[in-house]
Amino acid sequence: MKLLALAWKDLRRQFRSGLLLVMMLGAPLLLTGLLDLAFSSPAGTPEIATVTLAVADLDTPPAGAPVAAGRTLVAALSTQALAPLLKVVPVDGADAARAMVARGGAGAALVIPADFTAAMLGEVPSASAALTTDPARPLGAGVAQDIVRRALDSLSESALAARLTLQRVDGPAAGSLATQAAMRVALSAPRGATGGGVVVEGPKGSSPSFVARMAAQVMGAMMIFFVFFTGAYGASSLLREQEEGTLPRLYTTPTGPATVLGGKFLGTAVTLAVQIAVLVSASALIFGIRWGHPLPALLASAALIVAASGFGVLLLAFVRTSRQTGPMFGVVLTVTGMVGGLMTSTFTNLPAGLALASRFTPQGWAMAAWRLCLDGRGVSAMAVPLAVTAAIGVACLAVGVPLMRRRFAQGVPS
Amino acid sequence: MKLLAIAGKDLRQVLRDRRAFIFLLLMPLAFTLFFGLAIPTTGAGSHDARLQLGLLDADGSALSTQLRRALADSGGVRPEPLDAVQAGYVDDLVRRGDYAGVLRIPAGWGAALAGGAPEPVTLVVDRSTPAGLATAQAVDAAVERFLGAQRVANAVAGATSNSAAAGGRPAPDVAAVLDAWRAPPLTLATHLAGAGETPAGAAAEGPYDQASPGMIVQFAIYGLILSAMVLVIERKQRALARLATTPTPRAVILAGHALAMLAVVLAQVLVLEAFGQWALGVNYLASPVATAALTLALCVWASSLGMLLGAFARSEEQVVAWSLVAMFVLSGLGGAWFPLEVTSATFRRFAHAMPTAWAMDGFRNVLLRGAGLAQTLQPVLVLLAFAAAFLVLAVGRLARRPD
Amino acid sequence: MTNAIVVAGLGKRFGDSVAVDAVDLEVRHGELFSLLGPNGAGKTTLMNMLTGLLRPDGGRATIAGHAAGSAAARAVLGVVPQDVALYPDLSARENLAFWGRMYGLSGDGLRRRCDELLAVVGLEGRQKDRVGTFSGGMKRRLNIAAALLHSPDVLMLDEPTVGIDPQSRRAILDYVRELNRAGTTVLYTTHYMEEAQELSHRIGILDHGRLIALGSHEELVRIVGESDVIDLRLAGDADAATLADAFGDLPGIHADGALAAAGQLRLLADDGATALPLLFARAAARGVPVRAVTITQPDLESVFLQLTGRALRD
Repeated sequence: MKLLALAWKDLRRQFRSGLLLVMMLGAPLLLTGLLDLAFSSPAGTPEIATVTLAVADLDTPPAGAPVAAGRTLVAALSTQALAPLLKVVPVDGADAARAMVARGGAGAALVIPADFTAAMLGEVPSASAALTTDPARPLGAGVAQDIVRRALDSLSESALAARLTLQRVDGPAAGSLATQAAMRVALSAPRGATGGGVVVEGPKGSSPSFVARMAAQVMGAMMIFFVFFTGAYGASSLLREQEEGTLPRLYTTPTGPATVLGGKFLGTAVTLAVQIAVLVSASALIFGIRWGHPLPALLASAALIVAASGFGVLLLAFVRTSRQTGPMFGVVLTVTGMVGGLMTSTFTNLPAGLALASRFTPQGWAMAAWRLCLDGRGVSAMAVPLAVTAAIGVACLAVGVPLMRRRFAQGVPS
Repeated sequence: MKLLAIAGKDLRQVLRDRRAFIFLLLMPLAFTLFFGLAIPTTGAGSHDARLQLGLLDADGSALSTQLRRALADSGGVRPEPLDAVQAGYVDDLVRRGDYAGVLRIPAGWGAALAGGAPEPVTLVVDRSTPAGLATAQAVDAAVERFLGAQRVANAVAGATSNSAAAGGRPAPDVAAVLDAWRAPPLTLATHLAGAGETPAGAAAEGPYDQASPGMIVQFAIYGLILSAMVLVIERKQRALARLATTPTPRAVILAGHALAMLAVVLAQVLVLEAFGQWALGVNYLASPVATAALTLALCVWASSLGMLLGAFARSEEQVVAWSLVAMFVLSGLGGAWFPLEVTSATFRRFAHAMPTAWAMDGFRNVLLRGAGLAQTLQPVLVLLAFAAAFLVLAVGRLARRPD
Repeated sequence: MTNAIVVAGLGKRFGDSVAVDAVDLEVRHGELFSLLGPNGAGKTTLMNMLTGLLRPDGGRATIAGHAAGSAAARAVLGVVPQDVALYPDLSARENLAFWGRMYGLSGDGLRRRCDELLAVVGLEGRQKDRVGTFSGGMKRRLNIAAALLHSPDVLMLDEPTVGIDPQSRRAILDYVRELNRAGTTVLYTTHYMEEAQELSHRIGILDHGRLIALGSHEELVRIVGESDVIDLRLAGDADAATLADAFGDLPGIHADGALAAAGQLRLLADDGATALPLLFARAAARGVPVRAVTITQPDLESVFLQLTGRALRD
């Protein structure tokens, strides 16, 4: 009865504080919302902005040349199919094209050299087009580079066909045969129709879109990050109560230390449970996050609660006044959270060192458990991270609780 | 002189707080280092950031081996043969992100290609992920080269099949065409724009070119907590009202507080920039004048935000809560965490309503394009305009209700 | 009838300093007992031992026959701490309900007690407001109410009137007296002698951890004897201490216990009227002009002065 009154009192106080509400619920949802907004798109795939390509066509075909390769290239880059990706803007001169990139007006500049057609016709061994890209927009630069390279390659193929023909045949007919070979390549059936190529398959098994999965991972990470703050805050409220005189006053009532500390634990645990429940359901509603099966989610929540409140109790041993709690918790929980991979939950291909380091933090293990839960895995697959997360929490409690009892079982610090 | 006295008092209050060192310097340094480490780059010295491509080569021909080499040389993916056990879990491997993609080369692929009737390879990849897209693109480009070679071989054979002029010389096969590709008639040379026109790939974007300015912008906001706190405490304890009863003009009082905030944030940003320049290889000195202008504009804006917080927050708790929210929203939306280029169209539209996005634009202009003052002028002016607007709001509020 | 509070040889040291030095004390049932002493005299330490917050180094204490600090003792005890120990982010009513539960109350009984006490301390109108928004006086009143929910047999108040406005102070004193009239034993600590004088049946004077005097107001004043208290205000920077020494041999004047401060001198005389001419003459002889003089009947202040040679509010 008293235990419940104590826990209920703490719960009410926590959910009345604007700052705590921001930290417990507002911040994780806001951060996930921001990232969701950043990367979601109607198509469900990453959106790449259209790149503006400034093109300076300096190509001067030799007299009587059957083609103007420069113009062919520009035309190939300006097709309707490429329009969503690339916007070709013809400019006069190489300098003007590069200046446009330097100004930020174009993502890339292509300079087609004077001997472009000549190289195509084999009159010079090779010609090099120059692509200047904006270093501040590497993604767009990559797109432009890929498109231009493919277009150049198909021109190269024709030229190669002509050259190889010339190597095979001699005599007066050689020239026309070479042209014929080049034409054959240029006119060969569009890609894919001849068979070959790459058949792309999505991995089997239902899996939400990348953005949805990313939002889920960010939400999971942010939830863990801020749940640890709440756990630490809950433990430190004991210190505040001691300073504000309500803890000594509690000990003047017929209420023992076991009940008071127990009530504090219960209050913190319930606060954490409410925080997790609200975040899980709110994010499911707002971002459509699927949190996995109920039992694994429940166990992951329980392990998280044990770890977060245990870590909080342990941290409390290192602060003397409640004024110190803010900076101390802020620094320790941010650093351990960061090392635990909570800020980089969506990064793939992390350096091995960082992945290993995350296993030395409670947050890293909690995240490992939640990741599996978000993947829809069962309890058995999650057994190790669940057990380790909870074990870390229990170990922290084993160290922290005796210290806490010694410090707070008496009303007045002596 | 009174101005300096007020600013000096604020500064002492801020710096006496031992948390100042943590908030202003240690945290941003830790974040910068961490994100610099975590963000994959292709630059020298960093870990292998190529995407892992699982390979199931049932063909084992010379051509398939050549394809594997071509993929490895592409720079984008790192092909790795899968073992028999893994072969049974291809979908799982991709879905879990253990591999960016898995490529199956069917038996007889090389022979079919050489015989002029190419068969497709199969790529299992999640195209909704950036890694999946990039993998698909890399594989497609490599396979396309082989198909192209086959087309060329086909065309040459077709054009010369009836020609006596061939003199019995065999038509080139796919391997021969691939060989000829080593000296293509048309090539593409890529450069990065900016001072010196660096060849692409040499030293594109360093790992800290995003993390360092990003964390500077983020923590310029976070560091305001302390300065804004001084102002709020002063209002709460009525010291501000008391100051107003002295023969010190209100403008001087407020300017004194603003000056202290500016000094704190400026010192913070300069230290972080110096660290970036000398310890992390971020070239803030690429254009010292532009960096200086940008730094000053950023700090003026940040202190105007501090004044705004200090003027409107009613308690120390609110200062902390609002600074946190401001930090998250402004640095997240402003591109301090990831380049805006990688974000959605909607996001990019929102972003430039944030002064932070302009600050990041300015820093990227300097660091990556080596842009001079002229090209940073726009971000600088936008930041100053935001600062002016914030200051008008803050001063209006403080003048009306000093407590 | 047993005593409500029995303290026998109770002592507490913090490191080298003795906070409470073997105090013996008995407070009778229904008595209103004040512990008077300057700041740092050991009042709060003594109180903390009686409420079970501190473990004594020696001696023992009982509350209504139960060992101090035991659950049984705490169940019959109401404690009003010196600082306002309430939850600022809970409302007045929520605070009372919470503390009531801590005393084992629940249900209708608890609701009724909350209503009664909110009315008694005049906060019915503000019962739903958060305590953080209350004035100092309101918080103090609620602070007391929180100790009364379980109608304790013994109420201990630790300087409940420090730093509040005269009106609230008056209300608190009246309320304490009323509670006592209704049968509650009250142990009241203060460093305001007027409060002790006005409220108490008996007063204990505590100094440096020792109980130096104990008795009713009249009994205590008798310690000073039939003397008068003479306050002299001297000109400007006159050296009061030297002048006090100069008074040493005057008949009927107790200059050895004189209290000298800047330009002020307080001493006891057997009879004020006969002492004054002597004092004036001696002062004039020393070239120290006396600006003003007051003669008063002795009070607790002078008792403390007599016993310790110091003022109560040093």
